[in-house]
Amino acid sequence: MVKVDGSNGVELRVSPDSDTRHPASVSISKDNISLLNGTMEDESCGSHKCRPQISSLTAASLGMNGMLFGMLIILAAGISSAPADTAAAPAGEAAAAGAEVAGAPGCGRSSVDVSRDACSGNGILFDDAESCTCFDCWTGDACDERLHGDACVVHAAGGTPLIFEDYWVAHPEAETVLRPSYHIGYGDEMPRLEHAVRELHAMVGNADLRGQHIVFGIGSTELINAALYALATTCGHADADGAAPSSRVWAEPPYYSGCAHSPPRTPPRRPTEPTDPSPPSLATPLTLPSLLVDDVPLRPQI
Amino acid sequence: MPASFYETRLFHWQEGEQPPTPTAAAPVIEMVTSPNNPDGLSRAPAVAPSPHTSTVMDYAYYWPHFVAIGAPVAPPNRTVGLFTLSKLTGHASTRIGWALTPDADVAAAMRRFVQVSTLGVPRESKSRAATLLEHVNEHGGEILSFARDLMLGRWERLEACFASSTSFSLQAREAASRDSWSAADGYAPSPAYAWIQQLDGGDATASMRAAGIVGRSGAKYGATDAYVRLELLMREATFDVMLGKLCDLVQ
Repeated sequence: MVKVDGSNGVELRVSPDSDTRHPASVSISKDNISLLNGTMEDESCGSHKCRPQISSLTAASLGMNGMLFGMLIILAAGISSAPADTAAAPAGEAAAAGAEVAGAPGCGRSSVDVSRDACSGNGILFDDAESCTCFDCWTGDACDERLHGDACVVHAAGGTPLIFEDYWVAHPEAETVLRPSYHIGYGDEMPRLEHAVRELHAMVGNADLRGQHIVFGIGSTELINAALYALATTCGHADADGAAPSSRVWAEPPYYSGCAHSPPRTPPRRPTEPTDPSPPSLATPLTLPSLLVDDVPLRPQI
Repeated sequence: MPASFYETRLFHWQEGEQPPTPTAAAPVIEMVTSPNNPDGLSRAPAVAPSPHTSTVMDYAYYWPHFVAIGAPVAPPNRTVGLFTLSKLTGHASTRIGWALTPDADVAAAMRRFVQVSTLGVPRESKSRAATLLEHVNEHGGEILSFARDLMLGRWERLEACFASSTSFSLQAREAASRDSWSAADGYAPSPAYAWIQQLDGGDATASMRAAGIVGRSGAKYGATDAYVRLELLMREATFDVMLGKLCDLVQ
């Protein structure tokens, strides 16, 4: 969706082809944008709503069809002038690259990700956010003030994979749009996803899925718990009622732990069953060695 | 719903440097992450195979942007292999992972767990994941090469920074190995994290923090606080800022 920034208005860039870096600019009102959005929502493509070819919006909303015939129009919201600081360059270039992306398979639409434009290339404005999220060491409403010295702190304690953000800014066509009526009710199988996973591993060559079952979970976090449950309750391990031996979960150090504190060296005894012959344990806080769990940075707002 | 859902008597954490010996009375489930977090090293199970041995292989980092792609993994019986969208496309909050196992009973039990605990996986997340993965497939994995180039560049700059340091050391990367992903002869790993040791034994996390870098203490990984883990998956501009601070500190 086009993000309309109330303070900056909306800029309509018109260029004779998608490669032009110096488009003419025409200012239009928010009402025009509402109209544009309304037009967009009326078109669909398969099960997805799609924005139509932007050029088809020209006549409907602007009455400039003669002047703009055959031209590609790219909508961009509130583009701020790039700061002089060269550190803004990489993100700015990525945004420019994004502006040149046109057309999604099967939908025939053009789409531009302008989420960074209102944030000087040093932050990102999500569709549902009120303000920019500035990257480390940038601040200000438009993320155009650089922090220096002690005020500039880089957060590298998490595992948030932002390395991919430039790529997705340049590939807005891979968006997901869902109708309100899409799969009301509880979930069911999704062969499309399983097929994509099998195709992915075949392409990358990192896993051979022949003979493998695929189980999806809410992140690896749930799957680790599911796997421990499954491995502890099948094939000669404890039965589902917990009457059989408790399995020991072990990992070779150094391993990843989502918990800040060390696990207890001795599992706590179950006080109500003193005669239990196995070394039972109650719900000790799970300290799992997964690299995936809780790699979430707790970041202060800068 | 089985009563066991409310208890975790089924398994418990076993701490220790040495792998435990599985027995009928005390089976062992080994958690292996390969490449490993925090040090990026490739790992194989250390617990002796037996009828009472099971393994969870966490393959979150087994992608071309972190390591050479060698033989494709194929989890054997009593083994579950895990992958996640997070370290593949970056969409961590979409919360999609997938497990591989050839064992029908284990797969069924895992599905039962997911069904009982969360009544399945949100359709919205699965739909977004499918769209993203289809994009990755249709583009021949372009995003993986994109990320590999970035990671390789980061590691070359990191190693140049630490090469002359007498106060800190960066983990040694494993040698280049055969890589089916690229046409090149081999590829040396470009791990997701820098695992850094302060050579005088001081608190490495505190030293980093004083230099303007927030890392995670080695004490949280079964190591000492002379170690610190720094993530390397940030945006390029953020990495540039961190590298400058890091070089100033270690040189």
